[in-house]
Amino acid sequence: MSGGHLGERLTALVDGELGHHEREKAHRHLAACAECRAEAEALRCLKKRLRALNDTMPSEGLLRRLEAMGEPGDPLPPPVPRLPGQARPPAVARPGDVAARTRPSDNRPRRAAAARRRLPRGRYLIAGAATLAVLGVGSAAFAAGADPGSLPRVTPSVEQFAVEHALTSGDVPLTDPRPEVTAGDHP
Amino acid sequence: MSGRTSHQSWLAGGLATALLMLWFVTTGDTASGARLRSDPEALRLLRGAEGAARDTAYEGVQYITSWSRSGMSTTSLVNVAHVPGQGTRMRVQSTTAEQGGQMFEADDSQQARGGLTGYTPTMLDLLARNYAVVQAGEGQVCGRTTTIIEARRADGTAAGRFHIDRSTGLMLRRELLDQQGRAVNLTFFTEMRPSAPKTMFVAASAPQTVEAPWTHRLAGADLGALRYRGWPVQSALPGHLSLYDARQQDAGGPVVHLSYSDGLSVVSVFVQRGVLDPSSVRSWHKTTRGGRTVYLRDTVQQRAVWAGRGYVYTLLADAPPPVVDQAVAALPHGDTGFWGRIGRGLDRLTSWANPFD
Repeated sequence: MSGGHLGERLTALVDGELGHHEREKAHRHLAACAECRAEAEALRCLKKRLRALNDTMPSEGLLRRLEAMGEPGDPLPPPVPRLPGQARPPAVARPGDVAARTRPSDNRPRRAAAARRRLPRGRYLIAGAATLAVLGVGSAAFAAGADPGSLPRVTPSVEQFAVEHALTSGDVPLTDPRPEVTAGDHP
Repeated sequence: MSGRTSHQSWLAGGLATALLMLWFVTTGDTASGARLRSDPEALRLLRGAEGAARDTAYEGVQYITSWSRSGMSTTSLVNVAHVPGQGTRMRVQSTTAEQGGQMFEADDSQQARGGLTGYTPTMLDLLARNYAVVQAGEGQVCGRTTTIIEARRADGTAAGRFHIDRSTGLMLRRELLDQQGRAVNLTFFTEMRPSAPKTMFVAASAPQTVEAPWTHRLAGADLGALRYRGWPVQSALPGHLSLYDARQQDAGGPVVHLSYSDGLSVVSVFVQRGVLDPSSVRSWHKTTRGGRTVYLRDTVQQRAVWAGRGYVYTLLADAPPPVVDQAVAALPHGDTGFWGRIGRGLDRLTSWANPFD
């Protein structure tokens, strides 16, 4: 936690965008830091109010004006030329996106936020690919495991096998005695 | 940021594990990477025992005892006579075995030799790969002075013990020991005379069975073709057992004989296409291993029969019971139904992807 407080990570925590590990760390910090706790509470209240704002319907007049702005045939606004080194202009908010206009600016590290946004899609892709692979291998195994037909009943020629085993292992071939063998101690 | 790092760590770890598993699957036995240190003189004596068994004329009586899981022993006495250039005659006396019999094995046969006939280069290599082979003092067998050689496990316990005759170089005693140091299989000469028998075997003796192993040896390409057709041919079994020989009675014969060894234990697996006729194993001990039905007998040697995925398996082993259990568990089981078909299909897909394993 930079500077001893949560700082910009507090917003991410309230938005529910922190990873498991980071969230645990933030909660541990909140338990000990009254200042951050108060700030978190304030942010939560603000978020609740914004959400309530989002639920209210715009007035009829406002809706009409907004629709008039999107009439076909209107000329597109001219592109704003960017000077060298100038940052990309902020995206134009869509009509009705009240939250986008009222949300405080996101000053969190850009790459981390992007990674968090990409992760769920990657997971779905991996899960989908794994499912497809399992289904594919399973179907191939099922097809390859088909029995060629009825199988013969087999009586193993054990005594003949015993001779063959002895000949390849160099031992003396011995016949299998009847069960009444003598009990003997190990030497 | 740290969440992303953790995600990447998991991804890297998963990739590394997958690559490691792929390496295990494609390379098979990993014990070869950690060879135990053997005494070259002990290996030379074992190698020399095979040459001595071929070049020395001798006759004697061998005592062969094996112990079952329950501690029951089965003993056989075998009269052995060998004439260099001709072969070895073995006459099994009727003792605790049901019946005797005799067999003649020609010297020019190409099969791997074991028992008291010494070690072929292949078997010796397996022995040195899996055990530390060292000299362990001096002994006596049937009044003859011997050099004792031990094959030791990584933990230092003896898994096998051999006595090599100091005067002839013949192996006079061989012990296979379990993890507790108890003998599982014991073969030794009770009498041995290094002198040529008076008569030529084949001309003078009564009718006898001249035995030779199955003639159609299966090379790597044959095994690959079998795997491609769905036959369960594994290149290794647990307990460092490596496939060192594969045969059929003749080309396209109905039975495939796969021989596995770690240099001491020998496990033969006979594979046939079909389903097991239950009446053929009526006198066997039916048991369940991991929810699967296996028929066992462990008198003269460890024997197991079971069926799975369209094949019948007969396993014969001169090996400690835990080694046999591991081998049985590693071979395919399960029969019909959806999962049986999926399992059979996966086996085939694997063999198509890698027919050399």
